[in-house]
Amino acid sequence: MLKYTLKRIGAMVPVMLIISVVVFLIIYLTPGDPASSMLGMEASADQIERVNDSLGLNEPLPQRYVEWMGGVLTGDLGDSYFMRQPVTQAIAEHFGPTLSLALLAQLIALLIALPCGVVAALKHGSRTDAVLRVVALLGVAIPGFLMALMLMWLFAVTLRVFPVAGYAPLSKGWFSHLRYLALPAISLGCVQAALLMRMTRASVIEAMQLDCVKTARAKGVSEVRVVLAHALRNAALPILTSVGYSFGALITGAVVTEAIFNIPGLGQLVTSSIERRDYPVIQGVLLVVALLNSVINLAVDLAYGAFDPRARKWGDS
Amino acid sequence: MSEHLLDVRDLCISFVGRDGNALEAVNKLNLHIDAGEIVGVVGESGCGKSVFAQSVMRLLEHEQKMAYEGQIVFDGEDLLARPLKTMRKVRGCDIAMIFQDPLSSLNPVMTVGAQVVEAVRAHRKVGRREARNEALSLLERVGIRDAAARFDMYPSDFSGGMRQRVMIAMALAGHPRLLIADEPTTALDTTTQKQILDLLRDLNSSEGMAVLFISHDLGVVTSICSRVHVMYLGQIVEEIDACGLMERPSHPYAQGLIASIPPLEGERVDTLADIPGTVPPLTAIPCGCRFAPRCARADERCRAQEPPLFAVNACDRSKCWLVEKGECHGC
Repeated sequence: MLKYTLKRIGAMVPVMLIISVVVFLIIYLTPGDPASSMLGMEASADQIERVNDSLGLNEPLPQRYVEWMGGVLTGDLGDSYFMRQPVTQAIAEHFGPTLSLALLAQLIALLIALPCGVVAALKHGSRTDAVLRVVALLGVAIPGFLMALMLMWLFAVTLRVFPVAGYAPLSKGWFSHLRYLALPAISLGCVQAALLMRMTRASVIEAMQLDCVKTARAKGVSEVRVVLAHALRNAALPILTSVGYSFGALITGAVVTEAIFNIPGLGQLVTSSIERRDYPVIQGVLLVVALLNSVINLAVDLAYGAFDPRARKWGDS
Repeated sequence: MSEHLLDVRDLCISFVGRDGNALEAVNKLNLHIDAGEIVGVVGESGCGKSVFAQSVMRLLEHEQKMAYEGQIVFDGEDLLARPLKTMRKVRGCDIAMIFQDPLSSLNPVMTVGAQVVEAVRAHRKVGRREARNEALSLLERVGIRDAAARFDMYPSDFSGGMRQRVMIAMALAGHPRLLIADEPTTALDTTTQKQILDLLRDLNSSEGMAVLFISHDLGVVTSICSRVHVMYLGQIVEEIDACGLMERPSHPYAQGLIASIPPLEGERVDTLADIPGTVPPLTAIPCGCRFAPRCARADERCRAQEPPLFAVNACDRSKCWLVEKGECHGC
């Protein structure tokens, strides 16, 4: 298992290298430059040139890449052009809200998806199943921002149960932290729940056909146990895989939701940095997010072993 | 009224499709098992023997809409009259079952020990430690050496024969009076097959557990059973004691099956006897005798009128008009 883990971590190195090149190039290929956004429309060519010089933007691309990578490898992602602080610090500040939001949204998604998916699977073909599937389809089809606005209107504006927008860090107490995160987490969680529920339904339907489910029934085990201990455990792998995907999507895909609810997360950091062409920040965020996705994938693969003894054997061979 | 342990009376089993059409897999089946007896059902794949076996415990109803007629009387109670939800009290406790493929029948993501413990605790409230000890002794009872060391292994760490032993250990957990063995040796090689048969025979005599043994293998069935039922296309066509099946089968289908067994001794034969034609699908069951289209001795009456199950002698029965005419060579 350890050998397998190390091997997988080793395999992440070339992937991250390629991503770093792509991240680096894509940004320089986009039109616009930091100097003109810093100095405004009336800046003279001479002023722009001076700023570019001071930012090191006049060096050839390969040289700039090597310098940047050198920093990255020592844990230095460079300094922001605008925020007068190192990129690592900016990311660290904005990462907390995003992670909190993603975890809460994931929890909500699982709490909705697992029971609904299992019920739909057990009653597949019935009216209950049809209703749940239509609801899930709606969940996938409704755009996240619309869901967010509707929730905001209902719970924050009309019922006044939750704040309209904003963010309270954990240091201000659990209650207000969760109160501010509730609506964005529900709106993100619902969309993910819809996807997860469909996966849960399909895998549980498949698992219920397994011979071992029949054996469990023949032993006289209660139907609840048949479903939870036998069918659901056998259905766990595909569900786990989609949880991994959905968590990755929650970390990266909360940009719009963060903007609507004014949450100072990674999404907000990256949108404002793109507007200002704050290259080091954009590169840093993209790199960190890519690394995070690789780590999530690895975590999912390692978690397979916890659910399925056969997966442990693949790992060792 | 009946002293039989299991008494199946005029059982018809149909699968009900989504469109409401029913497909009959078992037709008017009569069979009884006395306490401590080993009774066999043989037939080709698709003849309905597995459907019958699983219907005794009503396992199919969880997966598919079924329609039943007739009665399955166990210990004086008609199981078909029970609400499906209460079948749990019968399963594993009065009647237990083992299946054809012990690998897929065991849960791959649960340790062997946990699966036996689950069977132990399904019907009795016992503590964890006590259940574990009982599971260990069950595993040892079915011939798994070093059970304690293997307790936390997974089915994939076990060989085919050992897996089937684990299945049997789970089946024994509730001290059942009847064990339904649905092709328990089909997926095993011959030496393992013999060990499992010996184990079943041993459990039958030591625990007094009756066995309903389902197989397509005539040799296996005749070696372990006292009475054998031959099934063809959802019907029992012959009931005979196990020694008689090889020597004096009455039904042409049973005769055909036995003639198609390759001889082990004597001169080598180049072509084996076979039964012409193929088993028709359930959607196209022939009228009259169901075997008539493939039977060399069929006449007009066979094709028009279904024969009843005639008594050939005191205990043998055969569903063939030839018996009435006194022309079958079993008579």
